[in-house]
Amino acid sequence: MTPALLAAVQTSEIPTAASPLVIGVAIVYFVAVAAIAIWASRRTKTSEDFFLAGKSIGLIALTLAAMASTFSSFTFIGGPGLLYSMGFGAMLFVLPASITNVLSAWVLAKRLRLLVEVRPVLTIPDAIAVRFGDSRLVHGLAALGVIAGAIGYMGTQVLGLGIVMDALFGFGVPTGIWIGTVIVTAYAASGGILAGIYTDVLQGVIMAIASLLVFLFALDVGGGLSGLTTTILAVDAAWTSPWGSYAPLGAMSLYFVFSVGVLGQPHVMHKFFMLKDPKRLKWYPLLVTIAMIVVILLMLGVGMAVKYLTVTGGIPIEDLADANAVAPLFLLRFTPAVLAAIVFAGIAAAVMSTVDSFVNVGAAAITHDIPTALGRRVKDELRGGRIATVVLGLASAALAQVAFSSSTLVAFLGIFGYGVFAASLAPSLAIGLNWPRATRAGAVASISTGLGVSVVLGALDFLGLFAFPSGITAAALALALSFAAFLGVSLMTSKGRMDELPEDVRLALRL
Amino acid sequence: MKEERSGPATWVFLGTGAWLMLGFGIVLSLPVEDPEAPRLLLGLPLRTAVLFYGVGLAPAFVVPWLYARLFDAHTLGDDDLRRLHEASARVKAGTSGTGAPADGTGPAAVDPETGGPS
Repeated sequence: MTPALLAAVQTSEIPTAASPLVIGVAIVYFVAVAAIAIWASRRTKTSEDFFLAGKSIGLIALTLAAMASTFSSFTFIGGPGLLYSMGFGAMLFVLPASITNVLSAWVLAKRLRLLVEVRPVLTIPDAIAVRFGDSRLVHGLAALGVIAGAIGYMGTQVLGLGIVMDALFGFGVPTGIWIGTVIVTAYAASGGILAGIYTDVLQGVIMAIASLLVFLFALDVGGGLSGLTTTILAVDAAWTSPWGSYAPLGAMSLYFVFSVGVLGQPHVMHKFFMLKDPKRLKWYPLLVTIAMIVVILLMLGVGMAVKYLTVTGGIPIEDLADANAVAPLFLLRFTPAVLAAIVFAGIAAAVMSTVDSFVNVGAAAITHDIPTALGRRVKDELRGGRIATVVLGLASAALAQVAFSSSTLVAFLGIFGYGVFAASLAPSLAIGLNWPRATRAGAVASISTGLGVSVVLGALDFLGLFAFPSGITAAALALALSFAAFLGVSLMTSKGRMDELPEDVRLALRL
Repeated sequence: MKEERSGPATWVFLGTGAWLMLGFGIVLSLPVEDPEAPRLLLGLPLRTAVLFYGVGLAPAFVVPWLYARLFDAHTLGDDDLRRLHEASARVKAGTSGTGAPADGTGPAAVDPETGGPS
């Protein structure tokens, strides 16, 4: 999701769903998460178990975990609200899902997974470093990018978790932040990514089932898709146009930005390392795309149904002053209580699955990548990973607590996190793993540029010292400059090209 | 080795890009819906239907299916994995040129296909 939208979601109030049924379903869900964490902690004995789930996961687990960690609260709260507000054009944010998975599989997944076959690769910065001749400088810079992005993103995600916990139990956002953080940190620290993966599987199943059922209820409200469309079209034709309230060019640019942006997201790419058999990647793009489409149905259905209900008087428009109330209102008023309860658990699941993925890649960067880049190794990486997980979790909760009082800071953190990931990692991964002429100096220039431009321009923007023209963001500019630096410097230098690499690494990248 | 095998993937990429551009082009060229007499296709206004079903849904099934179809022959087969493991074993045993030392300087000494000097 876009960081701006994430920020919008997370700085607004959603109706509280607290009721015995909702609380009961949520508690059942949290007990299941705890059981998975206990099971995973008993199987986590090495740092490879902690960061890579022992390279033991299957195709279905990879599919559901990748889907769950890709989607956050946006799919359940922000997305329906955006669709209700902006019309069908809002779907341009999620339509890229039809090609992003196969794009990442073809461009990155196989190469990343094959690197694990020939080198002890634990993290995305590890993989980038191996590609560029075990360069410690590249390794360290990539790790800094991961840490900076993870902290920014986790601040907003943890705040979202606090808001969801408040909606579930009604005990206030600040308390929700800390309770939610304690739950995620506990299972992420005890069971590592193994707990993360299998809670993601549970969370993915909840998200998919809930979304499908809610979509069917939403269609039923207006007598099917045609009924919803015809009624809305008669009152607000622009809403039903393919671009909604967006300009066509802006809407199409959203599509292409989100198509490419996925290639720099380490919390998703990292999961490719964990697949037991690289040949199972064969059906991954199809399965994960189907899973995503199922979950996206909730956004489409609820957004359309609520628009229909407002134009037909089923929901007073004054109840929707905040677009983020769209989904909770629909769930609480137009679906059975048990389904609403499952969806609210699903919202918590969506946020928690994203947070646990970020905390794991962040902990790996702190415990493994930075020391490796400095020529040192943490003696007990498993213990270090657990400590780093707890520290990162608490730091994110503290950041979320501060951000709760500042919508500007939330927006900045979200944009910063997304931008840093994309700008610092996407060129080295997407081009570096595929282009034989990519060089180490190109990677250094790209990561430095992406990181530096994101930080400097982002800070200037945040402090109000510089304003970008409409439609241009620091993140987009940093991404463009990072790609340019990578290509330009690679063409001017030669060290670290693919043909200089050891035979097995070269083969892993060329197969 | 790889040069001839990457052909199908390249064509799929190009074909997908062309399909997406065609879809967006059609959406842009179709007339705006008449609210009095809307033309619906599978429950959506025509232009929106082209976008959702053509640009959104169709590639979601076709392209991953093509990926799976091409996987064994053009992406990763058993023979590829065998060669990779053999190369890894050679490097670990020190019988393969490592191409570059840890600092990344120097040319590769071994060709991945033949195991001999490149």
